[in-house]
Amino acid sequence: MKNNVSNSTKYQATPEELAILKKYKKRSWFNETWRGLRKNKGAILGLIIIAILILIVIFADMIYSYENIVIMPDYSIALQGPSSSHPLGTDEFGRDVLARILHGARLSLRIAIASTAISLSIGGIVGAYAGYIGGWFDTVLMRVMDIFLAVPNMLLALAIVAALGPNMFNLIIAIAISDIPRFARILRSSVLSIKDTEFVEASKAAGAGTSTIVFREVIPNCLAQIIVQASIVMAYAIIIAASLSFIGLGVQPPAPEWGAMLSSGREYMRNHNYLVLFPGLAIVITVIAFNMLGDGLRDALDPRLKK
Amino acid sequence: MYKYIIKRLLALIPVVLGVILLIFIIMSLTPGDPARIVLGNMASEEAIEEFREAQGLNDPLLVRYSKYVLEMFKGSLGSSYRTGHSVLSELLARFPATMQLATASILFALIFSVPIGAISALKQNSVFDNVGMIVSLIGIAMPAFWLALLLIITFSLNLRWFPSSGAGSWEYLVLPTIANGVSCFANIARITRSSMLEVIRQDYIRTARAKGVSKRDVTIKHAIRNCWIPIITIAGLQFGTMLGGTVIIENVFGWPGVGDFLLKSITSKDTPCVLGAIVLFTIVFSVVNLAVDIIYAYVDPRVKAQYK
Repeated sequence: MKNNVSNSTKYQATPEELAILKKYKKRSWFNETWRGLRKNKGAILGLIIIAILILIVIFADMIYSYENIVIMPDYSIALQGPSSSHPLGTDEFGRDVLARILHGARLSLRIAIASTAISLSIGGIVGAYAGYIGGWFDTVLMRVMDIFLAVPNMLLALAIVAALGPNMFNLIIAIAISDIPRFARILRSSVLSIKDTEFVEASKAAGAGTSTIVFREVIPNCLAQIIVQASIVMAYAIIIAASLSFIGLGVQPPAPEWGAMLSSGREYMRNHNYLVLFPGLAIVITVIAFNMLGDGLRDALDPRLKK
Repeated sequence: MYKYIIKRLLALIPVVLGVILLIFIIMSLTPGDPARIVLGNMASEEAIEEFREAQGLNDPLLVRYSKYVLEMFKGSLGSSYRTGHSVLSELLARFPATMQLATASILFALIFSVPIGAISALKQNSVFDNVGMIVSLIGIAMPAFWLALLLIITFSLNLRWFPSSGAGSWEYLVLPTIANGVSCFANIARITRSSMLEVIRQDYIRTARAKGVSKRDVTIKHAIRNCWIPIITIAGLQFGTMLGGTVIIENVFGWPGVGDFLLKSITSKDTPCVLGAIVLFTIVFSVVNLAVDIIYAYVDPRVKAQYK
């Protein structure tokens, strides 16, 4: 009986209608975003820089060997200015600065991606559930997040890394924890705005449980904001990681972290200013790339700006 | 209005208590015995036990926490493991220097960023706009400590215009202020520009222009006034970032403030001092946030109307 009804009412689309459907279907969410992003020169530049950084991360070992060049001292060539054999000069141990900066990209990106992934998953889940379930559960979780937010980000990360001890793993944990409330807040407010929409109601009516709704309906609908926030948080994570390494509470020497390089270069900056110039430039370029991509994504994903 | 301020100040208390608990939990994660760390490996078992007993380290976390909070309400933040001095007096001695630096930085940021952001918006896509926005893009991306090093190399080692380290006359304040304030400057300039772009397309601006009000008056009396809310919001948030940044900036410039003290206390594992400094920073940050909310009422009559 049921089959009969659906068969008899089935609508046959004309070829013209199918063409129109196809045209609109082609503009998926990804396509739409990409169209917006393509118009934004800054965002494309950011994307290109990030792509190059990723290539550097993958191929750094093939260009310069970590064991033989990046961390191997050679005092005979210590503190040489930029030259053809060492394009960005050598540091106080005679290590090639360019090689160290390229390998440093690995550390910075690893820290940024890992810490953002952790804070995004924990903060996102906390925020989504708090917003969806509401009530005392929401109140308690958000008050806890308020406490985290009351401590300036850098100080929280500083306190955590000071307690756990300075190394890369703890640095990632510290940055991740200090960023959790940002994601929690964003996800929560997005959830609140779509919690009462019809598709969520429909899903509920179809018998979906809380987790199914949160993961299959709510989170995909907040993806735009999550992506934008993630790129901004990554940029900030790179700065915090470099800052903490600079004061000796992050990645430890001889690892070529950019902030740690600046910290050791500081002692020689009077006569060898390239030692503090280039690692800093690397930080600035990377952070700008993430920021420009973030700005471009926000413009491309923000429905208010869509024409 | 006063009722609102008092309500907000009271609401600060649970947040500060929560922050203290949070930092207590974080500090308790430190591997190893604090007594052993402070007294060194050569210390005898008796000395260690005596120190633990004297500092109350044998108590469980929550007992230590309640004791600390009770002492805090009596006006004490404990005493330093290292020097035995009262943490509160150590902090108060250094607090004016930090506030000096933070205030100078935020003033520097506001004075330069608001006009630059506003002019960029009024002359959208001009050379001024493009240069201004590139500078602020770089300003946001630049770690404060790196800018500090560049400033020292240029203005103190090469040009010898300003001292590179220490405190005293106004010359000592110049470089730390710039280094600390630039990211704040860049953020405010960008926000001013984008909210100004939104405001100058509003109908009331067109009306004012149509009435024959000069462009200058429209900008100052109508447009900028409507941008203050986002500007103040971002300035308040940036103040928090800046407080965190002082830890590093004070270290680079040898500025004798709370940030420098916090970093030294971390290196010497002086937990009471670390805790006290972070609590102090948190209170300042919360008070600034409250101030931001109060300033809203003064710049926007609509907000003020809500409080009544």
